[in-house]
Amino acid sequence: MPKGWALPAETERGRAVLALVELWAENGYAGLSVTEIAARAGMSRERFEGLFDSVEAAAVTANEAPLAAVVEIVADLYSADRSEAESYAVAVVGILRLMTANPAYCYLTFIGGRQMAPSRVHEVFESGHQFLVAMLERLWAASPLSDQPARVGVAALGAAEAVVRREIVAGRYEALPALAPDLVYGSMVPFLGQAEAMRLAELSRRHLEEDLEA
Amino acid sequence: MDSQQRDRMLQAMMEELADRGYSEASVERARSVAGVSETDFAAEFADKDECLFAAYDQLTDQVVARASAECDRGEPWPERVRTGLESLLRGMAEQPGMAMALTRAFPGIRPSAYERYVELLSRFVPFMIEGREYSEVDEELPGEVELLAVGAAEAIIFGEVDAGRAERLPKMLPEILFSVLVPFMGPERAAEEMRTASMSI
Amino acid sequence: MTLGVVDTDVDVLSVSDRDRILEAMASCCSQSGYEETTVEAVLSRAGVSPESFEAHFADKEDCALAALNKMVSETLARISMAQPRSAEVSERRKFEVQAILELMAAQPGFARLGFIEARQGGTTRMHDSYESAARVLALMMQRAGHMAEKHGARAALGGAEAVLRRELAAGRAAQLPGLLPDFVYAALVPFVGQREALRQAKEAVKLAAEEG
Repeated sequence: MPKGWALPAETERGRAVLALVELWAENGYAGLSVTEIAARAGMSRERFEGLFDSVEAAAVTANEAPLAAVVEIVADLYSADRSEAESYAVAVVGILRLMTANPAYCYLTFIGGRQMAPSRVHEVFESGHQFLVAMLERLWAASPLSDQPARVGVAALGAAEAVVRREIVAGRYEALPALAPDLVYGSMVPFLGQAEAMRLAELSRRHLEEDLEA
Repeated sequence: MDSQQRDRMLQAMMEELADRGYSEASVERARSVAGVSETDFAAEFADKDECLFAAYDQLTDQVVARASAECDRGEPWPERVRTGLESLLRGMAEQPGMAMALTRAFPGIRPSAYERYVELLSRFVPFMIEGREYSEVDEELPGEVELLAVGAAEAIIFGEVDAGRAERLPKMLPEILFSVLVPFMGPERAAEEMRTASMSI
Repeated sequence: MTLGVVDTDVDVLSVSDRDRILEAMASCCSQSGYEETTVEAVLSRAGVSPESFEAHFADKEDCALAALNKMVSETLARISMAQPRSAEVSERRKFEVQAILELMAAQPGFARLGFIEARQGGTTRMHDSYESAARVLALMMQRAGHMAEKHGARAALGGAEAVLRRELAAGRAAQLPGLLPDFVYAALVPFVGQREALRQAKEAVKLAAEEG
């Protein structure tokens, strides 16, 4: 479990960005206005404008917060005690828990930044997303294949994301962690093969259960 | 409004969305292109949104129908997946504006519009179930494997459409096929199918 | 089964065409700069065909961005896997800084691409990507240092960046690990103050000497 959130709602900036992210998930990007965001955040228009140059600037920050949190989870859960593939399987559980705990940011991470954002904001999202693809593509080193099919990382991550998107559109944020084994399997099978991907899916399921008991 | 007029109206409305985005999309312009009167429009649709949502439903129906149309029932499942994908990719490449409308312009309107996009992906799930028969492991594959496969294709397709490179999609069939088949049959078998597919491009 | 992330020889990792292309892009950019680098030069250096390039990358910029992502993801994986999880925050900072410097010394082409080309001589997307990454890192530092203030973290990073760029531009990537105390100091001082940061910097030197 991450030690906290990168943009805690205890700070003014955190509150302002959270308000924006919530409204984005509720009504889409086009409807966002400084007035509404400030009201939701419990601050004056002027205060918001003092914190951010524009809605767009705040939206850019909003995209970066979940990325910082995910990178932290990776840094926390990747360990010399296990292989990189096993660390990844455990990190998936951590990331899903993070998402369950922050549903508005979860919507932004999988949907808002991807398909409900203007170009500049979308590019920030895209650049963070490509970084996560690169992390996944490191598993290529363990592949049985002699050459890497193009865009296999994009597809592997996309496979998992499609399942997550289905759940969050239905409002089932609490169901996300239980999907860890499916997501681990889907994102790792192109690199490691079926048997190993199944083993790691099982590992993530055990980690999920052990953590719950702890 | 007869069904042909209705189809034209929906098509024109979707083109308005593709060309100008949601806020600038004009019912008047679309009506004019489709040759539909204000009264006829009002009798059929409450407002721009209702027309747009109906237009999206029509577009997604066409996409799914196109993908499944050319699949010969007799062929093995991986071949049918390939044929369906080929058809889909060609459609996107031929109409990049519609591809953008399908993946960005419409889903981006608001969360209720986005739901339609998620539903679209779910419609491909039944086509994937047969893939389980190709698994090379004894254990049952995870429950979400069908949607994982659809999501894999979606990610690559979305990436190209989003970058304005929809015309490249047909050439990318082999690698997309790899990523769709791999959760069912593992990387070695999926790579074989990929190589077969690249020989006929 | 580990993937040998930390210990494997760099050449062994570059088995796919894609990896060869990325390595070649990083070397060419570090030699000639991003703008002057041509796809032909990259292909020639990598020993791969134009078809292979086109299969993986849309254009030169796409390839350069992928090369940057490769460097950053490798850095993150290394620093995460190199340290004991039980260590407390400033201990971990030292490990992290050391691992980063060693990686850059081992991969000067990527390091130059990331710190110099991405900021000057690269495209707008590359600059934006760089700035975004720096902001994300600042967010993480600020949380780790229990700082609510954004600018302290970003400024601390700015100091470290300037030193890095100077050393990389002068072709002294191999000597970066020797600057460990300077970087540890820069990374810690906004959070723990000068005295503690200095102490940690000295500790870091001792640790490095013990390992070496």
